[in-house]
Amino acid sequence: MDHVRGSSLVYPPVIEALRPFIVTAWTGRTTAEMPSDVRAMFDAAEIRAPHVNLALIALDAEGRVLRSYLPFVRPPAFGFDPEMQGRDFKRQLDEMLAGLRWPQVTTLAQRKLTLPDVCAPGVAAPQPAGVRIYLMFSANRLNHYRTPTVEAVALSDATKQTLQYPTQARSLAVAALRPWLEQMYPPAIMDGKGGMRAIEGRLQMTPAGADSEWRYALLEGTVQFTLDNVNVTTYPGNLSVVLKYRRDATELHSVRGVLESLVPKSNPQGQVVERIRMTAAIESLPK
Amino acid sequence: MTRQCLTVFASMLIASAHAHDAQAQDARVQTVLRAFENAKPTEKSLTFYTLDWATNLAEAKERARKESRPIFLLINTNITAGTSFYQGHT
Repeated sequence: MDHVRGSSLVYPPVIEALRPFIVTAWTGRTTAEMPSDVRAMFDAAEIRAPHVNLALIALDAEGRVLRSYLPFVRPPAFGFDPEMQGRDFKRQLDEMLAGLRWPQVTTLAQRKLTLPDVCAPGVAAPQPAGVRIYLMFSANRLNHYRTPTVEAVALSDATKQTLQYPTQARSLAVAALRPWLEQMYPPAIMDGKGGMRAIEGRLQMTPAGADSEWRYALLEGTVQFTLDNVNVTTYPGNLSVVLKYRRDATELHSVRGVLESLVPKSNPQGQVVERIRMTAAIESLPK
Repeated sequence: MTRQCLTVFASMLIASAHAHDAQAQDARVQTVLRAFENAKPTEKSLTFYTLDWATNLAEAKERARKESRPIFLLINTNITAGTSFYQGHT
């Protein structure tokens, strides 16, 4: 369904049609895994199937089912053309929502980005915290590259401790950054097992100068990824991160960095059919 | 005198080497920060995230009641790897 995200859901007329809604999603291996609230909507929509490729349910403000729809999504029929897939999805969405009326959405609401966040604990108003990772991919057959993958992970006290200002160069195992690094893979490659079999390598952490207010360190090295998928995909990634500290402090203030990689994608027979360039932009929050 | 000059000259050489190191490291910081800015997606490429996302149905329902808004729920099951529509990973 990553191709649906990158083609049909991001098709501009589909985005506009979904503007009035609060959008949410649930995914799992089978419908038996559904949490009770999703199950209640699924049952109320009278979708009776142990597996659903994709189900769409519109609810009113009180959480009652208004409409449901099982779109027929068939990328090969459109030669994986995102425009044609988008147009076909919009046609089905129009069919689903025909006759329903929604409140107007303000321009301000349309412009707001709702990106994945980890919120700081113990604060009155939710504040983004942790590290946000944006993954971009070169063009590939499944169209998922057309929309960045965005993940947010916590910046733990243990990681902050590890990344304290280095008074001299030192080496550290990539395991220290595992929560960040285990996000760095393309969609549609895990084929079922999910997760990383191994993340290995060592990084060099070096003091890297100062200005009037801040001092810096660099964290650089090559990371070797091994996916826990059927083909046991392996790929190296070159990581470069700038760590920023107040001049009088050793505690980490913020993080900006990149990881570059070329990920081989294999067919079920184990032959590499394409190599997907992956770039990760890493930033700590708040900015 | 000669000895003092040599000491001063040696100190200048060491200081110069340190300054050169610091400048080189600072340049690398700038290079990585530029790479980050180039890699970060543009607002246009994040159009998908201009949809009003809630991270789960409970949050969506709570907000829908407060804001008098409808909810659009996507459901996907896949025995091998389901798609997280919000984040994008399979």
